[in-house]
Amino acid sequence: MNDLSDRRKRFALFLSLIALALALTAAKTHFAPQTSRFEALILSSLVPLQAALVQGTQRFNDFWQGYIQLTQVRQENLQLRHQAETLRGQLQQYREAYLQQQRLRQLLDFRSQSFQSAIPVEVVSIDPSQWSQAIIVNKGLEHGLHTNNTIMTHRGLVGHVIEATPRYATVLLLTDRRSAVDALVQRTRSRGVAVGKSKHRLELRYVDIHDDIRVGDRIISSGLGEMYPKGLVIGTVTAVRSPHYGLFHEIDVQPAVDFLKLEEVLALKSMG
Amino acid sequence: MLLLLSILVTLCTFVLQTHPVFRSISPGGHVDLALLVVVGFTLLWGGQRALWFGFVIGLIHDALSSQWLGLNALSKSIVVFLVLNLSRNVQQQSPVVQSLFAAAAIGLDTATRWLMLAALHAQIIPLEAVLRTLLPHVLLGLVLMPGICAGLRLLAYILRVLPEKGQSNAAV
Repeated sequence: MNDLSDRRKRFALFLSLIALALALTAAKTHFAPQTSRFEALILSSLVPLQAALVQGTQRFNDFWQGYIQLTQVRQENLQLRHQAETLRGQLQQYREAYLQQQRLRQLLDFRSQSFQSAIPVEVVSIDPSQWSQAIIVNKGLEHGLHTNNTIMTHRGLVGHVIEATPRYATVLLLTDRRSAVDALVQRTRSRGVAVGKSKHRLELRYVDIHDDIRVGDRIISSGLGEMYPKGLVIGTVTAVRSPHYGLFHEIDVQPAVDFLKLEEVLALKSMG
Repeated sequence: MLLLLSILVTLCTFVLQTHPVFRSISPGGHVDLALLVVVGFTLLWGGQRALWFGFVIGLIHDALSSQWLGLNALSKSIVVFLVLNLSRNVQQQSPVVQSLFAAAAIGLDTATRWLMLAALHAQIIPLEAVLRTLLPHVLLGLVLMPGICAGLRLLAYILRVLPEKGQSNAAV
């Protein structure tokens, strides 16, 4: 009798929890993209531990490199210095191009959107779900990050912020299946939409089958949709298939950014 | 005390599971350790607290994930309910039984999330992508589960928390 009663109570509790979970899903859908206080609390509680673990791991790695493999550390140091110089040079070129663009736009009397500064952020955590490609970075609302801020590296586009708490932000990567970027083929200016396919691949869709697309073509953001600035590198075409009776090409794109090795990225602030 | 211990253990697994180094591992190597801990807790101690435990851990998983809040709470609740009902008359201390429950849990969790994403969010994950992650996860779960159960039991013994179900009906 007691066992039957316990089973009934357990089943009732199970149904209640299922209903609560579905209600939370519906509430999240309705109030998206607001981040619930619960999620913000969990992120604020756990991410410092994750960041500490990442730092601890990095420090152990530094110790190993520093005391056991001094030669490799020295070489790596030299490479990083060279990379930093390259990045500085590219940033300077970017600033010059931006200033030139502003002058030209003023001359042509176009309205423009531009970004004032890029915020460097570090990756402290990854999405624990199997089918999601997202990362958590160590800066949030307090540092000027907001939902839909563009995330990039010097190599190209990484993704955009989908949730921001006061001190952390969740970034949806380009390789996630929910990601879609309006794109251009740099050489021919053909339009398409770059969508995530897997950890290593993107797909460029809705490119007219009559457009000229070749392996090796560079794909950049078009700037449409006011999500991503124009001209950011997305990737390179690796395969083109043209169905005999289709309307669009089937195009595989290799991302410009190595998403498996993201450590530091830049968050672009958008100007009003 | 027991519930607190299990939540702390699961939080530690989340911290490990979300370390950026896992990005360099293939999807097959990225196993849901938190799910295995939830199944271990359910097998060893059971009861209504297991349902609450699974639900709360699922919510925490959702908070850390970019997916919708409630997705993993739902799937883990269903997994716990199934494990509770199927484990009533089996010997939970057997490593073979524990491994089989882990495999079933991973399969059910994957299927539930896939259905939820397809039905409620119109997000259909291709079957090829699902199978590419599911089969390695199941194999890893088969291997890791006995160790996780043994670790939970050892921690409980060291901290002198409640004994396993079947030996005492004392509440938390």
